[in-house]
Amino acid sequence: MYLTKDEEKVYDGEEGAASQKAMQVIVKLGEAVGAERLVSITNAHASGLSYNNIGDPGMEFLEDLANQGARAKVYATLNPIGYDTTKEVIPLPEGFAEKQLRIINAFRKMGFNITLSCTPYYSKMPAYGEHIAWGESSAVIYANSVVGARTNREGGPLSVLAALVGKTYYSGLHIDENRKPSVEIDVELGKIDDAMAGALGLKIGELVKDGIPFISMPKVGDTALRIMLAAMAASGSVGMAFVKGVTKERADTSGLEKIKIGEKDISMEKSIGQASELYFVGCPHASIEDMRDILKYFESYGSVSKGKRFWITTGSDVYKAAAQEGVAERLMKHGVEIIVDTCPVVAPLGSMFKSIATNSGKSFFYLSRVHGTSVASMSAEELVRAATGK
Amino acid sequence: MVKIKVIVEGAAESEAVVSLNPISFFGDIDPKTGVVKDPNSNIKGVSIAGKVLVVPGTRGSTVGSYVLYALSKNNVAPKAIVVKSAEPILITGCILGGIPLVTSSEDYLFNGQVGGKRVKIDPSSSSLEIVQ
Repeated sequence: MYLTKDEEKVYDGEEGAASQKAMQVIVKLGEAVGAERLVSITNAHASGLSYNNIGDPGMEFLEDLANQGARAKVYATLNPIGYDTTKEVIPLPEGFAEKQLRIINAFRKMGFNITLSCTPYYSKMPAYGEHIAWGESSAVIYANSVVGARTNREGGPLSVLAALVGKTYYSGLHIDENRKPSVEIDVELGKIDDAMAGALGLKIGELVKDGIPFISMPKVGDTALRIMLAAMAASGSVGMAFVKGVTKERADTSGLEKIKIGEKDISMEKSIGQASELYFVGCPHASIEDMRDILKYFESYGSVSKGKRFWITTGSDVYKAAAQEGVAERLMKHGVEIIVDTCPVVAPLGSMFKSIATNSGKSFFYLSRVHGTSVASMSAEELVRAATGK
Repeated sequence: MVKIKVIVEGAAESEAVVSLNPISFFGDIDPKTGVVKDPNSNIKGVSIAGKVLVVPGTRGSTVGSYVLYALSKNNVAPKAIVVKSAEPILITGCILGGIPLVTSSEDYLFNGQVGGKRVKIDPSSSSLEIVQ
């Protein structure tokens, strides 16, 4: 692989052991996939930092890096963890919080922003064409498809190491020629609400797998769009989609296979929704617009019924904005719990809820797999109606 | 003498331990002892510490990279790893843990017959030798 003089210096250890290790991993992995050079990044987002998942080996690795003087060279953010650091929502296993805090402190020492959210684009929106290294499938597909920034689906430690040297290897979705649709999807549905967008996304992911779909569909808002993209990145390993009218990059669809998706291809479980114990919005983490919309519904339908719970999960940056404009307080007055830093998919919920209803296709996909919960798929408005008994 | 491709640099000489099936470092190997925990493995209960681990490939969670690092830190890492093809989780872990990693397409290395024999990896000549 070709390295610039500055990159070579880092590779040879002139900037310390931590940067050297990071550079070696990035170069070797790049060579393994045939990358010819590195690319400078402006932004990194690290996933895989729940103590639940990485255990003592991961915790010690991150602490060692921090102690060796590793520091992020670019703006860097973090994915959600297993619990809300600001209040107790769910009981945690003994010692869990302490070890999770050690992991967060290691990242703090390395200069990462402790955002603990799957929506890094609400902390700092990358610009069109910017090269970034993000590891969170729903954020990756949003960045590539809606923002027009460029990132691969970076796994495990790579996004951390990329932050430390400000580079990643130049391959996959960083390169123009690879940002091309591989299949055309014609969506023949009328009005698409958020829950339907989730079901549609799951279907597209199943069909496309690791391809890049070109999707023609009725116009939807940002919420439905984020839910749809997150869903296809979960059921498939889609890193980018062209959505007609949204994605700014040009696409050539001539000669592509065309697949039609109609009502009969979409399945949604709604019947168990009325009896659900938890109603939940915020996968991906809720935006300020989502919170305003949900407040509107509560203001017309009433408050959360006794025995039911309604969660909104969001990032602390969005929460701050919601608190500032008074939306958070008004939602809480209606019995809504606003939870930051985590979400039902990554929190150790265990058997806390037998049934959950959500507008998220990604959560629909993972909740039953991770916790064995039965899951209903309802739009945000339907969720509020069911939770308030209207 | 077998031709190898060096992925992560380093010379090594030790007894070979051959796993007939792919390994997931996360879950299959105890990071504190280097002992194989996978109940279905042909080398269940065997320690890979200080050995040359020969395995067709690796699979599973990205946490595997961290386990390789932990093995190294706990002084129970293998001396080197030989695989048919190397995937990103393994490459990352070997670099983090300073464990030499090579690939080879010689089938007989992986079918069990070199198990227990002493092997020597020489990165300068890109070769692996069965010493005895």
